[in-house]
Amino acid sequence: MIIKVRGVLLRFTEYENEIEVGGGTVRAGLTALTERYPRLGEVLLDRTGEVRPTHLIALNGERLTKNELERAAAEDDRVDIVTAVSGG
Amino acid sequence: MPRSSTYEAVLDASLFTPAQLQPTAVGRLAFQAGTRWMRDHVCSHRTLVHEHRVGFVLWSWQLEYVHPLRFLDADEARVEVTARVRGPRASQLEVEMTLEGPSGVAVRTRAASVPLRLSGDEALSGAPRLLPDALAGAFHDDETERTPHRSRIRAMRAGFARDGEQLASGRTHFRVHRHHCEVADQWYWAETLGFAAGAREELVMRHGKALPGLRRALAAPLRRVDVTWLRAGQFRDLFELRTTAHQVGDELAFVHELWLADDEGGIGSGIEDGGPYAVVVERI
Repeated sequence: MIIKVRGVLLRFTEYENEIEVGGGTVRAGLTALTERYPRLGEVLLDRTGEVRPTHLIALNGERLTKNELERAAAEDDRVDIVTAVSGG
Repeated sequence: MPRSSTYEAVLDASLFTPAQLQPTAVGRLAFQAGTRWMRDHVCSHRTLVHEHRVGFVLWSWQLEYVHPLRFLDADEARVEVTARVRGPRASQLEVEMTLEGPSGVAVRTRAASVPLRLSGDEALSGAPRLLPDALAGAFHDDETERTPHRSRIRAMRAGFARDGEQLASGRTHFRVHRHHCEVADQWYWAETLGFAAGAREELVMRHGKALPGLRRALAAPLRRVDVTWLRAGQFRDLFELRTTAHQVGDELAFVHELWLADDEGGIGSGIEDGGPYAVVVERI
């Protein structure tokens, strides 16, 4: 799958905004992504390993709840990670 | 008596257009003033973010030019700033600033922000929440207003449609670069005033020959700027500005909608709810 990262998260992926990862589900893809970019993992995931509620995850444009991250994701599927707002 | 902070701002040429203080410069001075009031009377911005895990995101701002102030008029200006929490449950922070030159108050601004609970990550990601009691309690009774701040943008646009005549429209694009951003790689709100001003210039240069009256929008000073932000632009985002110019009585008004775009010509992220990220109204 292709994971697309935007804006405030780019500095945690070495400024790669479209990252190809393996894994058969969205969650597996996110795990592969955060293993590749550990600093992104610290930002994206809380201490229990769940996606923090301040970040949105979408599969092919459909926003997923945290219970829907086991959805299957094939090679040409697109996963977006969007951080709605930051407080600087 | 609500507490104020008062200090002197040294003026330099970078803050001005030939006609007046630049809106972006006023925005920066206003943000600095609000930060100063908070540091003087509640806590510093760094403490707010780092220790209280609270941020603020601006959603409404008004700038009114009152008396003329040009670069050659003064060496310095007097800044006075007050702040209060608003809303029935302390859901907003409102900051008012005046900047006074030799002829009196030159500009007056009012900014309304929404508190965010920061999740504690390095990206400073957050979600709207009420102001925590520990911070709300730092405001005196006369710095607390139960009625919420309301943006005037919607009523203003309805007035243009009802009483005005649309003169021209156009689209421009801009990308959010790092020098437009604050510490979280999110656009610094005052920069959107500059994007809007740039879109106005483009529209005037494009249509000024056919509509000479439009050229006043480059020569004359702005009278007022109103902004509502609905979402935050981020580093490397591409935006489309949709600008319309209106004649309303003797006044020219420019409405700028800022829409997230993509490099393939699409609009929106496809994930967030639709609508523009911000609306800027300039009146001349």
